Amino acid sequence: MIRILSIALGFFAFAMVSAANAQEDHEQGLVEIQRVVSPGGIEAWLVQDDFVPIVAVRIGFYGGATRDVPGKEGTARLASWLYDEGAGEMDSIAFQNRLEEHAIRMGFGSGRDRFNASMQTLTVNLDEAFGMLRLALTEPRFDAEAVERMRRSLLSQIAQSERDPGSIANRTFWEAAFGGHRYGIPLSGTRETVELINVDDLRNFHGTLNRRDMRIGVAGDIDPETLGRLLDETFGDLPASGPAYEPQSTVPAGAGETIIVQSPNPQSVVIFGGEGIGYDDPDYMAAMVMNAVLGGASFSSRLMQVVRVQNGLAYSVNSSLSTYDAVTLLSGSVGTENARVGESIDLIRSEMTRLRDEGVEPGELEQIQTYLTGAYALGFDSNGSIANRLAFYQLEDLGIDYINTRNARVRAVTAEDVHRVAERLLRPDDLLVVVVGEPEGLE
Amino acid sequence: MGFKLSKSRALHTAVAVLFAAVLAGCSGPAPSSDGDTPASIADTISWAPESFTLANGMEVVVLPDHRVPVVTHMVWYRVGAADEPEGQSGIAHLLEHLMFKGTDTLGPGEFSQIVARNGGVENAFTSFDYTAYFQRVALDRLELFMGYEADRMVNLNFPEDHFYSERDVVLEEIRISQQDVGEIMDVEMSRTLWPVHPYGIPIAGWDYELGAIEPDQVNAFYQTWYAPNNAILVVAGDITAETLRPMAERTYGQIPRRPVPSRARAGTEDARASDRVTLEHELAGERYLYRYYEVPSYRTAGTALGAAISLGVSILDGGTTEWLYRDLVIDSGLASMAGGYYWGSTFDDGQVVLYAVPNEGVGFAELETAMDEVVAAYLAEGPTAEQLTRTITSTVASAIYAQDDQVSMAQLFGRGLASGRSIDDIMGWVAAIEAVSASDIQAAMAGVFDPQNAVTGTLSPQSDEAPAQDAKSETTSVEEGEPDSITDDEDKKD
Repeated sequence: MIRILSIALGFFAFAMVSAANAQEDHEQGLVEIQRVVSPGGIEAWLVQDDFVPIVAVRIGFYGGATRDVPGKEGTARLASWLYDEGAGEMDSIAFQNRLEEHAIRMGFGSGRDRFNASMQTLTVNLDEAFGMLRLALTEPRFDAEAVERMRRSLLSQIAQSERDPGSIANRTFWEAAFGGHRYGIPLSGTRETVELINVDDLRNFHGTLNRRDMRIGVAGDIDPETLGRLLDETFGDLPASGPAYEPQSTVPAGAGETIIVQSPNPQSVVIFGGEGIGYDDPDYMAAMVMNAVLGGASFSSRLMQVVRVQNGLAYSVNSSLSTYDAVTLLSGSVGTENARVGESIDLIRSEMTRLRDEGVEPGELEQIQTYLTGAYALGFDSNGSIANRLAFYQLEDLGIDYINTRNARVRAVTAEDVHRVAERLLRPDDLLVVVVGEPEGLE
Repeated sequence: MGFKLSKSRALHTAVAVLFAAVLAGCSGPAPSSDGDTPASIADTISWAPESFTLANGMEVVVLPDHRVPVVTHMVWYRVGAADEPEGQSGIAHLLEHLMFKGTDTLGPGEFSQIVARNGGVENAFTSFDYTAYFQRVALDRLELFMGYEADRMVNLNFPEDHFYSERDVVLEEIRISQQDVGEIMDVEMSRTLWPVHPYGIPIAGWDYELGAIEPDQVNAFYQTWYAPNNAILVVAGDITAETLRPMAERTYGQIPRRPVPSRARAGTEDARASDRVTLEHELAGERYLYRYYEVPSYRTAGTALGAAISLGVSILDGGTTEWLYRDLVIDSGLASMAGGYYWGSTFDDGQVVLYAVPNEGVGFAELETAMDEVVAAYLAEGPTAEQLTRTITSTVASAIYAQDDQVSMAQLFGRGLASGRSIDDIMGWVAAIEAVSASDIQAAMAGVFDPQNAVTGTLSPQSDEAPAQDAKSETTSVEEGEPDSITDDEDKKD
């Protein structure tokens, strides 16, 4: 068997010497973002690149499922399925065929706090594509046939999700954590509420879309002047403003509770969580690094090392920070054999305790920082992912310099910072835990 | 378009699925037009793969993309779950996991730590016909990782205790799929369609076989198949063949060639015992109707017939406007969802899958009859000229969209080559798609929709009276996007 080790080690030493400089040089110009403001005053962030003759557009609006009228939950989601089912003079079939004839890709989706639209087109079809986007966003038809068809499809999906262990765990967690809040309601509504949604409800939802609540990211083969013209043509007909968007801040309930949903599966699905931290908190970056140490960085994280690598308890275990408009979460999940659920949860709690009490070693911190900064830079290699990020950073109000300063901020986090946020955020005994399966070893 | 009933077959070692689905066939010639206006959108495709072969037989493909100083480095082995010894199902995938557990000179997980410490991300995946490993890193780290990847091509050496805990991890991965009723059903359909051929066994293996595999068996499998002359190096990103070649020679080029068996799998000629699957399952919340056909793959059919099957099935699927969807969902209202897809990237024969979700009050028999009528009408009439033109346009465009993503490009060439196709086959795909006529499709579809070569299945929620069913002995594969098309990152209605 041949040894190639000496070769590998030789290059390793060389690469480590040049690593830090190269990475920082690369980040200086991770991407060049242009703030484009149309003659009519509509703003978009643009990263221009003509390597591939396509343009990717991502649009986000504040207000998703939280705009649903009580009793009509699922309205935003059902509406989002109808934006490409007919607009202007075109019914559903005409609209879809026209998209395909021009190879235009268009999609709409609704989350808790956001309504999203995305479009990708070949540069040769730019005007046609933005024209179709304008029709969809300003003149959706909500034809009765299409509404009923999409309603049946949504009901079918709801029926299946009622049996899916992961969906059950997720739904149970949100209900328990936010029972009295809009966040406690399933994003797709329920069978009962979806049956009650009518065309007026969909039109009312559509009426909430407005330019004040809209943020646009664009990447690809388009120049600022052309984009400016297309912004006015496409979005100029949306109302300048709309109903107030006022998220009602809250915190997750159920601290210290464990909820078991009995389900006859070979494996239990576990979701755990508690309050997290907002983007606007001065310790957000430190918290992001802390979470990566705990469970947010795949195999570089402690949870993956302890639960999977050392004990073979799970294929996947992770933790994540999430920030919604009305709540923050530090949550995580694991899927493990029923007989070893108690053991897995104990290990997760003890890793949280250890990080809270002992903090992080400088060497481990440095490795996590390198992982976080390197992986972030890798995410800017396609127009689709760049457009998504441009819209996202505007919606979260993170500033146009965020992308090119983020990695420096990650590197500035110290071991003391990590320990401080770990003490603040890690409360292993106050987690809300949801288990779906036939778990053993839980007291 | 709804609820994805499509499948592709790849298992991932790490959690994050880093891949967008890419077209199985692939794509295009790069005749850059020197005029101002391209005659066809195909003229704007600028794929420019460079390739060479090392002295030891390792094939190398370079896919330049100089937008950012980043590369995607992949090694594809021409071995997968369909090449496993009998009774050792899941061993290819278990080996993939163990490749992260050390070599003669690196400890378990050490390569992964080095990747992370250098700001890279990594993963690996196993399918029926290939096993692949990759890292995405800054350009100046590339040769470092090539060295480590070459190291584990020949010097794998995992400690025994890590073997057993990793085998448990893989068993947990199998249990995840045992909670997904779509996958449970796919296992039942596949084993009925392929009673002899290994495509009938899940990629991750049967849990009772996997749980009995021992380290020496994995080492034997590794020694048999992992060799430079059975591997393909694909590097996409900020590099050229001229720069890569000396790096490849210094790393992979140092490993001697050795004999590797040919890929002879059990045949598909044996008669099926049954052409029906009926499953009631407690995890099913809805009823689903499936039809699987055994059909030629791009490799077994050749690119021209593969392209005709791909377009033909795409038109029959109908998006949300034609054929299956139009007749079953829009016009008759029998179903809430209907469609079909071609899984044609395989080394041996592939599959065409049709599916529909019946609306309340609609029986399976009624829906199946209606589905057969749609197929019969399609066979008789063929696609209209408009349908064909539209579908060719969007299919050719997918070759342009693929260029936006290094990983898609690397996967497209890696999978094609590892599944027995050549770069010329792959590069000829766009021209083959553009050349397909309506009569080509009719001829191809007549071969595909052969009732003698199909399995029909129904999946239903468990009726209240029925006793609890034990579904624990079956496993299936992890879904990962459609095999034969490019999907957007924002799947609507999903």
